[in-house]
Amino acid sequence: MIQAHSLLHRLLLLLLFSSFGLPYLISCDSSTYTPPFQITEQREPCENYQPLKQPFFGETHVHTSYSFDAYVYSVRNDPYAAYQFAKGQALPLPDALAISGNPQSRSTQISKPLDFTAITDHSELFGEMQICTRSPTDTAGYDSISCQQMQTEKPNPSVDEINPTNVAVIWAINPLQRPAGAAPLEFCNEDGVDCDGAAISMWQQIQDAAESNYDRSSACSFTTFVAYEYTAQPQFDNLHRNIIFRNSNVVNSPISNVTTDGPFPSVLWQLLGEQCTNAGINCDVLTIPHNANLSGSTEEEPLGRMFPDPANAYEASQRAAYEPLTEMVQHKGGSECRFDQLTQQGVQTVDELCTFAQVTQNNLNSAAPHPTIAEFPTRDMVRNALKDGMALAPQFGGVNPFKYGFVGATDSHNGTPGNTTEYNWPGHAGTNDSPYANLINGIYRTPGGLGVVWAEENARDSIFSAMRRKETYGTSGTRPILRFFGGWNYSTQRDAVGFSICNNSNLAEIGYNQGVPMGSDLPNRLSSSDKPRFILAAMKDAGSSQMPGTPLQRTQIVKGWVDSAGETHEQVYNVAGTTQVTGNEFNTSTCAVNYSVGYNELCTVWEDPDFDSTQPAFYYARVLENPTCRWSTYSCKAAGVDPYLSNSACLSAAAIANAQAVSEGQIPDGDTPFNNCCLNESNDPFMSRSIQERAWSSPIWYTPRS
Amino acid sequence: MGFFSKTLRMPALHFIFAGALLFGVQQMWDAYALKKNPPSLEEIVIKSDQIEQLKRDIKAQTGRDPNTFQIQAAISSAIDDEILYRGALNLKLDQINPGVRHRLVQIARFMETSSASASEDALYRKALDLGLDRSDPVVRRQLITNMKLIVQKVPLSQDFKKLTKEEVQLYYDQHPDLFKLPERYTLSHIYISRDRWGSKAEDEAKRRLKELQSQKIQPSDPKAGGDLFLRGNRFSTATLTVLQNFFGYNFASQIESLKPGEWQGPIPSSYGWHLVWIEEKLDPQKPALIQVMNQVKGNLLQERESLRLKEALKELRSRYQIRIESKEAVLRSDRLPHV
Repeated sequence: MIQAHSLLHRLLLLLLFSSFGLPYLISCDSSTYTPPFQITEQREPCENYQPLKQPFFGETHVHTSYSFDAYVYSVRNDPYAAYQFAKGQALPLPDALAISGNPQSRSTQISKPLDFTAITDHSELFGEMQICTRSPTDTAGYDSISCQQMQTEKPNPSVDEINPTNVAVIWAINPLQRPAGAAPLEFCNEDGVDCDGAAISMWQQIQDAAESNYDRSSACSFTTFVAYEYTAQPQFDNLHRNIIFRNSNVVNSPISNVTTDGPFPSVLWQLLGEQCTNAGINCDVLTIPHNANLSGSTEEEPLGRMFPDPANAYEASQRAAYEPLTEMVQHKGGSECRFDQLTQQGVQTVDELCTFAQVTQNNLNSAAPHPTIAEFPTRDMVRNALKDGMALAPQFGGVNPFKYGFVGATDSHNGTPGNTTEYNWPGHAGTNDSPYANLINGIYRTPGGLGVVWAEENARDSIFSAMRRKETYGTSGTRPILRFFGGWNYSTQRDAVGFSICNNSNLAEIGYNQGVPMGSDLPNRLSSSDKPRFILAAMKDAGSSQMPGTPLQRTQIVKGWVDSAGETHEQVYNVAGTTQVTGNEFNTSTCAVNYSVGYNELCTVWEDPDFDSTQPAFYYARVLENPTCRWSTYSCKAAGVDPYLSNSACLSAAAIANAQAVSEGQIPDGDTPFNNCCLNESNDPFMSRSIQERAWSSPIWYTPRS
Repeated sequence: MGFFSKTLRMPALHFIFAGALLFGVQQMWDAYALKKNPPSLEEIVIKSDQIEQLKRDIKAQTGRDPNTFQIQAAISSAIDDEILYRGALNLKLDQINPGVRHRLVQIARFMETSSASASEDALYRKALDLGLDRSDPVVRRQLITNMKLIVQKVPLSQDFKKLTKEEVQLYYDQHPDLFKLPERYTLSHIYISRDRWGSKAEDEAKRRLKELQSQKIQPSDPKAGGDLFLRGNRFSTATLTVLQNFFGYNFASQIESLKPGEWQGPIPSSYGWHLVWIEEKLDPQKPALIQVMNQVKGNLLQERESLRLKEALKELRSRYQIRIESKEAVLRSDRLPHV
């Protein structure tokens, strides 16, 4: 045994030194380069370094063939491929009717490359996926029933019924789904099967893919992050989090829902502390919860499970420390706020723009009943959680447990980070939602959004630091530029064309010097008569070669506050642009955008007219583009069903399209996916035939001095 | 967990074990691959009823009649499977693969009625006697997958170990476009907003240009002025792609023709008009290998893996006489796609 042991060691050392001795240990020239953030890795300084920061567009949530619920839908794009996609290369996608990965006859390409990407595969099943899909056939476990399910897409491999969704559901039960306790798939317990070791192999691949795609040269063209998804979903209630590491120093093995033995985020933070942030290995990490809208509620957590009352002050501070950001929107819907356009009721809101990207259910079980607005757990919408966080703070030593900044993301399961364009969206998970399944099950879903950070340079330390301080904004998929500063003394002086600050090239310098950027706390007031002022400047997406950017419609500031009785309130202020909808923003027949309506840029200095210095408050900016055709409208029109026809004409066209799809054998007799094309603003609580793309800045908070 | 078991769990070791396992097979593979073509080619026949079955399979799986491409792809994949299967048998993988052995023992035990206590070895021998290793579809599938992996990975893992400085350098030299930095620009611009100036924007831009030129105003001069451009007024070492993302498609296409060191324009963008001063134009550059080492290695390995499988299957196919029994000429083509 001893001998074998030392032999193994020798082999290991040999391997390490022969092929993994990384040659690029280039030192930083610190004499010319003193950034405000801590440098924790060795790399060349960036040529393009901007002390006043630049917006970098990226993806913080994307799955590849390493995720069980991507692979089973015939997705074969791995992390290497996903990074290539983010950099602009086209990728194959499985044909709508592909089986076991064949054929990969579709193709997709991002409209503009991204600046950074974190790949976040489901960590709970790394070992099983490594054994079943990435190992020699004689690996112990390879021929288990579970593996055969994954390989054949059949829930019962000896029967000829292909049903990838059922396979995914079966695979999820033990590792993801249990209300308490969690376990790997059963075959991991069989003699000789080493799921833990296999998981580490997959984790290593993920790190290698991130390393080889990270540009450590001074060009700083692309940044990757080592990351994974923590996939707790007790009885379908979504408590997922994306775990993103600052640099290449990461945990030895992902801390998953199986590691934490069930859905316990506080255990996750505890272990991340022990194994990363406090382990003395130059490791740092943050967690980003997503889809609060699907996190459900229980008797113990009636207001929502993503943002429950903290158990104690320690837990509140853990959450605040590890979780600076949350997703505002992604493929499975928006989580900002919720409003039903038929009943004109909202979840603690009267904001009509809260119909945006709302899905019908409140958890991951599409068969579950849909809660009404009155039943909907209030905190499953982020804006409400933010209000409650301020109200809760006094109970937890002044720590606001829900002090979240914002990003958007796709949650694509195609290995296609940032693939957010409406006009050519290929669905989000291989064969799961192409070509018509999108219209059947996914009509409320969206291509998802993007995360934007204001950072000095496109490199890990700079971007990670921006995420940590919440100098971020989320978009619903387009790329407008948004700056948002808060302070007390910004000049409201106007000249002939508007606010002087807004026509001053030094806007950013003024913003930082006299106040704080998005994601921060307002500085202390100098005079008791001061009211908070905000600079909100936005510029439309410059567009791509395929599609020029859509003009802006208006900018808003959303305020939430807590009164002296502890009641929470909100108010949405329109601060620039127009609330008038002309109907000429785009052509409902052709979907062509009218570039002469709307604004290229909107900028204003706004003072809160209703400020009360005794009330804690947050303020975030919302930028709205003009409406354009939604992805479903493009899909329906392509099939000859125009959602803008009268409802009866639309349903007639849908009947023809349904019949044709049946006759071509593309859908079973009786399916009517195209009827969903006729859902619209007047017959459905949330559906819209157009989409008003938007951006949300992280909030700026005001806390009264006690 | 003891240290030894901890060590066993280290990913690098998994790699070694897989490598060692594959290495044994490698030697057999070499012997097999180096064998001269036999005097008469073995024949692979795809019979017409097999093709009909493939068509039925596709229809059962997809719910519609397959098109020619789908049938061709299915036939091609059936040929590849048969080739891989025969290759596996030639290498006697059926006798050394524990998964296959496990499966055969299982079947034999299921068939064994008299002595439930028969030893594994006995059961395994019995299965071989019955020819189950040649007839069981699960075994066949296991062997095909195993062979595919060997074809794809064995030489690769050897190459990986042998990934020498010279090879990496060669790959880097042979693919200058993959790693080169495209031409880049450091520039300043003065922005004339279409929102602010409306139809007068272009005239205003021209007027400003004359003013900048006659007063010899430098980009760093606060008097340079212009409207606020939220992205900033100076961009350092930006590629044309980056400029296109920032200003729109038309803008970037006009930058290439501008002379450095003076105000030029006006150039239209998605937002308005711009007067541009190119400070520096960097020609396409080749970064030092050391700067892109990991990218080069990653690309090299990926390319090898996919090429390897394609070439191996092509080469293996040439060892067989392939006959496709079909009335449709298009299906008899010897240029079936590799899928």
